[in-house]
Amino acid sequence: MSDLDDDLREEIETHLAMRAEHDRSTREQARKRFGNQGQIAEEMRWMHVPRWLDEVRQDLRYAIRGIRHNPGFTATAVSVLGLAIAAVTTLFTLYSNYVLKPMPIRGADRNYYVGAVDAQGRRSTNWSYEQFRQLEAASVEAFEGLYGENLVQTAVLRPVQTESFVSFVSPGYFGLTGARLLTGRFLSAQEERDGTHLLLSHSGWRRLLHEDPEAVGKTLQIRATRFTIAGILDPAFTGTEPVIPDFWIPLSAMDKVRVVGFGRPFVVSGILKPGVTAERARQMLEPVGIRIRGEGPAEQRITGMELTPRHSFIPQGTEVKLAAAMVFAIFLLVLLIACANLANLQLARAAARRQEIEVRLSLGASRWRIVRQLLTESAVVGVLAAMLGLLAAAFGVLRLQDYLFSEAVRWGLAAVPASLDWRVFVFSAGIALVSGVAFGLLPALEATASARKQTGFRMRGYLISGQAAASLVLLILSALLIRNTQRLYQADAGFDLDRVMELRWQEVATPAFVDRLRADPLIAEVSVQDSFPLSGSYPRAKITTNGAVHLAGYNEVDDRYFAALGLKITQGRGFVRGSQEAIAVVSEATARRLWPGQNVLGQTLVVEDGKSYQVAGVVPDVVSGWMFQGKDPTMIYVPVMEIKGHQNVAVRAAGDVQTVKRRLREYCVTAESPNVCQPMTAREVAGVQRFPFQAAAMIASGAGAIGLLLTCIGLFGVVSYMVVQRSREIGIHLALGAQAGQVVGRFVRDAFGWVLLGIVVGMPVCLALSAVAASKVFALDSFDAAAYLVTPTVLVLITLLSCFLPARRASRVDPMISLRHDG
Amino acid sequence: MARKPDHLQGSLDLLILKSLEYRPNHGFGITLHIETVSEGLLNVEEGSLYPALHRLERDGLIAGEWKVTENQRRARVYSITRDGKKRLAEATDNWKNVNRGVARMLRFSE
Repeated sequence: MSDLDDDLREEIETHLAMRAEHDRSTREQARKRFGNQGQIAEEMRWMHVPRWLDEVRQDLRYAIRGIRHNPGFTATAVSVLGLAIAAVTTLFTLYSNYVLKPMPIRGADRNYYVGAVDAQGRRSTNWSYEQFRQLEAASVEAFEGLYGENLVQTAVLRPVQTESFVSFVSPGYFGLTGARLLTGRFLSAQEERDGTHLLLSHSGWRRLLHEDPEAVGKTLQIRATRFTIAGILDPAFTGTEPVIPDFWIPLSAMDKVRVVGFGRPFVVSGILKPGVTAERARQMLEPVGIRIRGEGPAEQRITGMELTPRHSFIPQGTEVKLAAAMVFAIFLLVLLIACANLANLQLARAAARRQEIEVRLSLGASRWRIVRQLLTESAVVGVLAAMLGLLAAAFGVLRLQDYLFSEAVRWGLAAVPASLDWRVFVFSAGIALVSGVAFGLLPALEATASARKQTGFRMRGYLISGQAAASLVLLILSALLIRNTQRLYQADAGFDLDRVMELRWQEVATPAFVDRLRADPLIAEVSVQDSFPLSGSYPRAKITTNGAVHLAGYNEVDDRYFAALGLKITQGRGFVRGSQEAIAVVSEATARRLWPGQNVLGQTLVVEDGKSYQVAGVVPDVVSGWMFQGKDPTMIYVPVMEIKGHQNVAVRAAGDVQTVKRRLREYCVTAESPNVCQPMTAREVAGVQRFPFQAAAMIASGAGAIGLLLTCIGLFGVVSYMVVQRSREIGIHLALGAQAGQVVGRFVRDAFGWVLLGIVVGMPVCLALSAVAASKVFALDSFDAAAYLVTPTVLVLITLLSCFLPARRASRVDPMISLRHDG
Repeated sequence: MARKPDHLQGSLDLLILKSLEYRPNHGFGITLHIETVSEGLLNVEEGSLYPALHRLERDGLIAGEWKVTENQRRARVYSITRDGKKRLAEATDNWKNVNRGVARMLRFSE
């Protein structure tokens, strides 16, 4: 009573007094008859808010009551929609974490890649250290600082032996990015120049030192060099890449732990001073950039500078946007299917609630008011589904991330963990409301339309068609991805992927060691080389021949390399062991490209280190880089002159591959400098490359499966509903002597017609979509006969089944019962 | 828990407006009037009456004023406004139509 305002309180008191007088009863009895005043207080509180808000409250109350009275419908709706929202939310969480969320460094919103554009419009953010220094000197006015980094794989030998990822960073990197230490100290300028110390990341500390509290001051042996641990970074600082390096080492130490090559470039970025526009900073850097890279070989010449935002781990470039748009389109399609499904269910319910709605309409409620009320009900379902979806996403996102990064993890990479943040909440709340309205609007309009316009069945049919079309698009897309992944796996690398192995050993392969391997009868060939094929990006070198400069693939190999890969020399000859002859062997593609129409043998080429070689032989092309990029456009092989510490060992197995692997491991640990090795076949090495396609196929087929499942649920529901609605008609037919089979057949035909319509509409969409998206984003073959034949067939069979099962019920209708049961 | 018919709110509004069209009255008077005129068939839930009155007043369909009754009791007396009359006329028409329709249906199946 205390909650009521004075007027109302007095009014009620008067009422009670009058009631008591009228009934000749006590005030207490009158009060009891009057009912719960607390509820009135609650009602009255809403009297003073704006009218629309009061109506929203009434709608919500009504909606919640409706939901409580139909737990079955609610549970179905919430789980169907929740499933779709979970999928979209999970995806968005990853997107938000890597693409939208600012990277956790100071001044992330002012962080830009410092890049260059050449005359062909090609972009590059790679610079040499020397160039970096010159850019840095010119950047003082516009930038808080520039930083360069290079994330590479290396091997830690002590205290544990493992593959590891190191980021080489320019001096002042930590000061600039505002990194904080967990323990220890940052490096002094002198130490940054000397390159004798490193800083551990929190995950590196855990992985390599098992969180040893005494880690600072201890040493870590990376390849042949020992580094002293100066400090451990706070877990909040994970670097500037989406993967967390185990440790950071000053750039000056780069050559000590990495494969030595030709002018290893690194990525340069900078943090602008507050208030300085990217355009102004660009203008200030451009003259310097053009001065230092305006000359030299054509491949390196630049015509302008470019600053591109690097606010998040994965900046929103065109490719990222395209790929993200594509994946999101897939999942929005799933969401659409879910909504179509719920709209179908709602339509069925709306028919049942017609009477109630009509009474309300006749009592003066406007149509809009009732539509709004029905929509509120859908929106409440949407919100419940969003809660379910968020919950599922919270569990799902780390699993998905683990899967997506599982290959990376095997290689020693830790990904920056994704977490749900306000962006995700806002996103899924938005999705929930939009989809709530989406699946509620049609049925609400339908329910409140005048009784004469009965469009329910037709509308339900179109919804089914839409779902079938959407499922078809998803399934064909995933089939395309799977087929292409298979093809990638079967693609010709130019050599035997199962016989050729990489030793993956951190130690120097001495001639004695190589001879020991060669003596094994199970091993056909052993070769040392600078880089093993299929290793992603392979070294390139500037080659001068006939006065022209080219950037060509470059590998130093020994005399057994071609035999190890099984390459037959097609022209001229190969290398001879122990010979000091300065000869080179080139791939067939190189020969065509560098000396078109000329005699290749005897041509002279000068490598950027000044050494001159004469082409002595030609070999077939192989894939040295990425499998999907195909065989190398250029590849120049020169002989290994001396045994260096970084050489790879390739082995061609003669016997059983697993046995050979086991024996290789034994040789490694019993060598002069014993150490573990991890032999891998070339196919296994290529498997790492296949991974993104596999992940994409998994995502697409997951989406397709959910879509198909939802479509089947929808069909099942609609056909069941039709059977119930028309049981009287069925009864008459059966009573008049129709065969049960005919009746069932009619239902299946009716429902299945809509599916066929969906397939007919969906097919051209698939063709258009796969031609544009699949080929652009995933570099896929867009047409695959199997995908286009098998997928629709499967869809047809499954949907037929989900029409047939509920339709069978029609044949079990008892004519007598259904006729007596006044439909 | 028994399920309350969803259209109760709407019909209560209609009954209040109809009662006030006959003459201005206070809450208890409206309750009695409805019960009497319907010969006890309709029972106004007293707890719902006042929120409904206030809502109708807020929407400008009725107007309330403190007055002293014949029994020398201060009571808030409501009267129907012009908008209220308009709404009543509409609702009455609709209601009659529905009733007629329902009645026909009921007759049909008998």
